[in-house]
Amino acid sequence: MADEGNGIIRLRSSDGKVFELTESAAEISELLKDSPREEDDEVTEIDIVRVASPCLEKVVEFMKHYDEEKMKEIPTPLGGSTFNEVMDQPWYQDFVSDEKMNRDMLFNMLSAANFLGIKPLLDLTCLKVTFQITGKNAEEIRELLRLPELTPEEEAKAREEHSWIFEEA
Amino acid sequence: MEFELRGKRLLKLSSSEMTDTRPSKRVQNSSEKGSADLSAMPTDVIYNVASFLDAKSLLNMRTLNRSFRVIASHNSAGWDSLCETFWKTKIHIRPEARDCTDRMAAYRLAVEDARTRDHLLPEELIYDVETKTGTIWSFRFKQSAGEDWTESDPWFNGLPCRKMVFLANGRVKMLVQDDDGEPSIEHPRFSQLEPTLADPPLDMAWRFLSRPLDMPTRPEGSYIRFSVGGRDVPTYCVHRSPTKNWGFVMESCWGVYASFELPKKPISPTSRILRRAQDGAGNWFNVEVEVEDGELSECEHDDDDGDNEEEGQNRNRLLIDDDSFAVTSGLQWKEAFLYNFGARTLPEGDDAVAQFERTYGAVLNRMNVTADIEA
Repeated sequence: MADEGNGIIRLRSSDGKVFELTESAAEISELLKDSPREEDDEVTEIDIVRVASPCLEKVVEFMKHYDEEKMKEIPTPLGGSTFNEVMDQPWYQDFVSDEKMNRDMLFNMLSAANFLGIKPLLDLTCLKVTFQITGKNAEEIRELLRLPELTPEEEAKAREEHSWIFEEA
Repeated sequence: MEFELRGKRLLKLSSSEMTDTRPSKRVQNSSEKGSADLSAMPTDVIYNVASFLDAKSLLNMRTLNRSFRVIASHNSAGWDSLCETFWKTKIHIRPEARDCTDRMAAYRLAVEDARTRDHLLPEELIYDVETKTGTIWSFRFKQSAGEDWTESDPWFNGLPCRKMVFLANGRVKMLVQDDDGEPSIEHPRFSQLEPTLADPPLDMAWRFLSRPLDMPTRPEGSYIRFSVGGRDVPTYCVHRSPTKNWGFVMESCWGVYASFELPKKPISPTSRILRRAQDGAGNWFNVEVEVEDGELSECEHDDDDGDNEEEGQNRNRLLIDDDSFAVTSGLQWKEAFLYNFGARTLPEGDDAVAQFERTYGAVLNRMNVTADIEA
């Protein structure tokens, strides 16, 4: 079934669902690439106990598509002021913008990308988070990241320290 | 852990094994079921997000809490690339900022320096002939210098400004461009120039001074006194460019130098456009009218926000329109008067004003010249 040297990888999510992809598609994950397997094995099953099925499904979707259409590297500093300006490949734009991609899903994906060592997915999700943070004040960022609030004194001190940049034209 | 199961290899990757494979240090322990919080992720991930942020957002991140403060201050948060990108658009960066290894501090130092320092460091003024490095200044007269000077000034003839350099020995030279290479207007440092040094039409020398006749005392590097053809000309006052490019401008009532390419003089002050008009019988017809460029852009952008438009036009006139400069002959009238009176040297220092009053006060009062000059 599988091509010579291109076996099948089955990933099992924390809730037991299995997603299949080719070895070549799985290669973008540093973790899966480094996983031990024997040469004559056509199918390798790997338990990803830390990632639940809705997220793993999206991750596998990403890896499969990446195998067909590589994602361009994101340059820093960013070459644009909106997410779609920086990421100009429609599939990748839609991937992190569709209705399934709510806040929790985005952060779960980010976590999974880091966990599995998928650099392009990590960059893409980080970029998305970046544009959610950009332009927001500290309070709004704190809300987005669900961080405990600072005391008014701490807040005032923090802002005062940075007055130099907020005055810069 | 590995299991042999029905001839297939089964790898069970638990989170503890996973984390062992990645050297990331944790901000705090993430929950085993996979936390959906950025703060719970390894610092590498937060650096990844941070490296995409602009400086303001990064500083906002820095105010979130102690962990974010440490991360967002670190060079790995992208300060190096922020410095480089931001500074590329600027003319003079404080040398200490370039050398500073803490890149957030470097960024801050450069921003604060540009905002607060209005005087030149010697290295920002001088050009080194040996290494061909240093600042190349562009120069043009102001209209107030009079036609004798402006008519032979390249800028007034629609050409790029004269390029001048100041040598460490106090001499002033002119850079002459060969015909084949047009100076690059975009590049503030004119790096594409392969110019040759030449003497200006009249012998010129420069020196710093701290208290000219018409101005208050300021630090060294705030005023430059030139002698042209052996005669002092009204003092050049140094300040940062109003275009916010961190460049320097120095100007007297009659001339202006910039440490970058001054914008060209607009070539055609008027344009012709068609307008609709109505004759006595009420018929509409086209009529060609001549309009000032400013008026034309007003016609074209009728729908724009009024405030922004005005601000934009003011910005466009900076360094082009003589009205946009600060030093006028009204302000510098004593030095202008002395020069026109034939003085070879202009006085300086704290006693200069009193000395001027003693020598010319009576004459000026009698002639009522003061009021005329100021007007």
